[in-house]
Amino acid sequence: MIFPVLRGFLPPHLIPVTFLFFSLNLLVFIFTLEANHEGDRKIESILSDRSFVETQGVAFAVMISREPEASLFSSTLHSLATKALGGDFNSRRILGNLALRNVTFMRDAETYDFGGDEVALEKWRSSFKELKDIQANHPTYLWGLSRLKSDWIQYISYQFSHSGFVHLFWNMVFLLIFGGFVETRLGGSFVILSYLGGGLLGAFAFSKLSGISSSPLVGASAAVSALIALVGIAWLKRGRLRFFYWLLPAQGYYGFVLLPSWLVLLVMLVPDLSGYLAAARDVGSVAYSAHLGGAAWGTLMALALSCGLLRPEVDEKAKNEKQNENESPNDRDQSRKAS
Amino acid sequence: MVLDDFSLSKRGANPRHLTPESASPGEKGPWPASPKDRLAANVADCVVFLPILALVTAPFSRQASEARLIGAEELWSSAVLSALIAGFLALLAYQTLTVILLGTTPGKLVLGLRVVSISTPNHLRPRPIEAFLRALFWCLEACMLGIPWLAVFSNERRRPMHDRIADTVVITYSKKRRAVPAEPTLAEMSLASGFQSATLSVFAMVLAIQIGRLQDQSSSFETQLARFEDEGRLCPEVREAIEKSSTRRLDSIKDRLETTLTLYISGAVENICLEAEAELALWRNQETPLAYLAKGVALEDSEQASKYFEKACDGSKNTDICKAITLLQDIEARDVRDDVERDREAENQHERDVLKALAAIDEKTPDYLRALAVRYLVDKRDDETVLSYLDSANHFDGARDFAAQERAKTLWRLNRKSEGRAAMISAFFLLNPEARLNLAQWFCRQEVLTDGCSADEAAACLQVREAVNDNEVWLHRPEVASAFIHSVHCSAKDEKDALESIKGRLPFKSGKRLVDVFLNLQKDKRKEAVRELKDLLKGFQNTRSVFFTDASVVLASIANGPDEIEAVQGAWNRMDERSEGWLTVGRSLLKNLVRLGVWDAAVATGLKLQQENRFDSQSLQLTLLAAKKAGRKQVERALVENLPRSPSSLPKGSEK
Repeated sequence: MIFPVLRGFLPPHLIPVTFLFFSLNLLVFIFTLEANHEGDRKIESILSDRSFVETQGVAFAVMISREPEASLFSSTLHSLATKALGGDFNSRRILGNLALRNVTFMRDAETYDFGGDEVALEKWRSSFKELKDIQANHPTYLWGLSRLKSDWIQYISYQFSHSGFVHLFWNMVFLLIFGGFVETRLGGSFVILSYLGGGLLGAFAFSKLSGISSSPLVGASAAVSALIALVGIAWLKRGRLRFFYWLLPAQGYYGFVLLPSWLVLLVMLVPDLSGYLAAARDVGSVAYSAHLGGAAWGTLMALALSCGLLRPEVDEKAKNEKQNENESPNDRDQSRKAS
Repeated sequence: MVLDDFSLSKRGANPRHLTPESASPGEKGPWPASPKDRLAANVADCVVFLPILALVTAPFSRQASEARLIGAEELWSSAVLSALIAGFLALLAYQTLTVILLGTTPGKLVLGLRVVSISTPNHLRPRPIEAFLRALFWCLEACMLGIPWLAVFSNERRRPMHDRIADTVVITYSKKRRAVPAEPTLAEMSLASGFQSATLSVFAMVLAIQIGRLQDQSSSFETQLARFEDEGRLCPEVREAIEKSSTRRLDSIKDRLETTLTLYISGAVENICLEAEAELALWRNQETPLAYLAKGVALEDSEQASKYFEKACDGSKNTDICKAITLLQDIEARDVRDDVERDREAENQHERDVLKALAAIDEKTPDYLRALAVRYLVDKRDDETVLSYLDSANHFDGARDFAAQERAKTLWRLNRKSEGRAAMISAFFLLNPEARLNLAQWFCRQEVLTDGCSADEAAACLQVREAVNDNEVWLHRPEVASAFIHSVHCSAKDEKDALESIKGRLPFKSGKRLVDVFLNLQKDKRKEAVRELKDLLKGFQNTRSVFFTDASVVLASIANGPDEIEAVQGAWNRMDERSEGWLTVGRSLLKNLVRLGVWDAAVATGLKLQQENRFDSQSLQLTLLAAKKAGRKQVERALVENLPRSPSSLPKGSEK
């Protein structure tokens, strides 16, 4: 196991800009927590109704089967639709859940003439309307970027909204580590530019590569990916980064070490690329394309930095010296060895 | 520990001083690397290689997850196989290229370990062919869960198979972290080679199974999908019934729906089959009213079911579908009759509709409606009409098993017992083992509980005994367990220990207690038997249990004193009047009351049986006798006067 530590968690007075972003994310999470929970609970109660999901699945299958193969819907969806219409309940359940992310279905379903089982459809329509009403007032749908809400404000607000505590926790951990590192080494403006620019490019990449769906895009992951890519690329020539490693549960096989910055890209951004390539179309809950968009923005910033288009706010030499004073003797030995 | 500098040391890259002899402690390095360091190096390699592996296998992972989503087993297997091959090649490339370029892998590099050749004079970093051979065998060993690497503990110079084949060794210059030369004992070596052999065997076995599985998947996903498109999700029972029929076709939605409905009503398929057929028809917009009926029948939610029935019968009320719904609603209403306030007028109208529906059943009536009418009339105890429906030739094309079973039971109920037994034996040839056992246990219990042990029960009870002796699992069904007990009890007159010996095989506590009762009766311990029966009856919550019926019948047939009769009457009153058990207990009680000369109680019991339309010729004779003896002239007259108005209660040709 290996984990980038860089300069660790720095106190707020050293990284005010990063802390501002951290606080914004935290505040949004706290203020929307109850409404989020309530909305999730209501949606869950609708989706736990087997007949609702299955009817929705077969209705979606009817919609898919009326379109030519591999046009509006993927061939996977066409295969599922054939099985669902043939009476396969498992395929119906899968399609029933996928339908909620599908823009065409969510837009047209209420007025679409499905034919078929009118009794089941009547019951489903009333639950579907209720579901859409819940979504209209759900914070994740209000703040997130989805087909339901995709104004310019959502392109910004989605970066500060999270779907759950674990989602928020890991994004904030990496924001504090990488944001704090960038802020102390390059300056606060780099954090602002990376965070907002990464978030924006992430959203655009998501809309182009995956398509904005009815399921909202939320989270600071794209913005954090920009910070990670900036550090990973900009520090290729600037020196090594501090990592925590744990190889074996034995004395001498865990601790801190200085390693090249490309390892950050390898262990943190390559998995995003593989995730994007490995995700089946129309399925998956992680917006890898948004992460990649954010990383692309971070790369552009790193290139601009190396070309001199962007200049660090702080005197790097002075900072380096100051940092060396703070580092452990072991780390200093390592740095010396490296030089 | 602080890890070594990440940059490649020239010393490590070209270790000129390594000789086999020098790999011993006490000299200036290099030394063979310790197993612990090598393990840690492998973990570090994982950190570097896993993201690469994920990237290389990503397209195949995507194929596999898409195949899994649509249930295409064959595509999934091929995608997983491709991913495994790609992963293997990536690992081979990683191990080969890093050793050629760096003289070690990145993981070993951070631990300060080097891979060197010992075949070259100066022991330089391995040549490409050596690096490749080492990587190839390292990867093969990794496929065997890395167990062959355990040889690092048994080899003197810590060289597992891949090092020995490529003539390489992993070294370190750190004196603190060198490996002490291994001095393998015979036990260690045996353990290591045993592990290796076992792994190889398991690996070969898994490979063979996987190849076998791949070969078994003969039908491609396209074929499966085409079948889904053509015939949807067809239950095997429905397919079999249609294929057996001469008039029905698999490509006709109507035939499929009617057959499935008939099979469902006759208890041959689960409701999921019927729901699937109904859904298929509905979403293909074919045979919609029949499909709505089928969906309504399949649903457990009665409120939702009534909506489907409304849809199915929203035009003319004279259709077969509407008639079926009328019967279904009547059956359902009977279940809730006790709980709701009755609307007399609506009930009368409904009764008229039911009679009209039943009167309209003729040669052209579809099987599902005929099967429903049979079910309805069996419940209403109109066995004569049931028999007339079942006797019509060429019907129940898709559910001959059901018709054969019901015919045998109906004949028996109509007191045409010999014909019933003959029909049962001829039905045995039509039925599958499970249905055969069901019919046999029904006959066995009815025969024994009604007439006691006799030669007549032998055919059915023997069938039960044989089935249970072939497969003990059947004993987990209470009806079968009960029939088995009676069967053994009846045959145990010659074998005294037979009853004792089956106690341990019975999974039901009540069944074991019933065996105790029979054992006490065998030993002429009547008092103990009665006490046990009373206790047993008191302990039951579920009066529908077969053992409750059994215990009640046994007590009814041996009851002597008033308290014993009271106990039986109490048990009888707790039972559901519509159940078969209620009838059996009632008849048994009536017989015993007449035997004991308790005339008033006998008349009351007989009248209660008559009220529920459960009179057979024997019960009528006994009640008349009791009424005469008790001096109940009015009852006697009423019984005689009422006879012509209920012809169905006195079956024609009943046995004397």
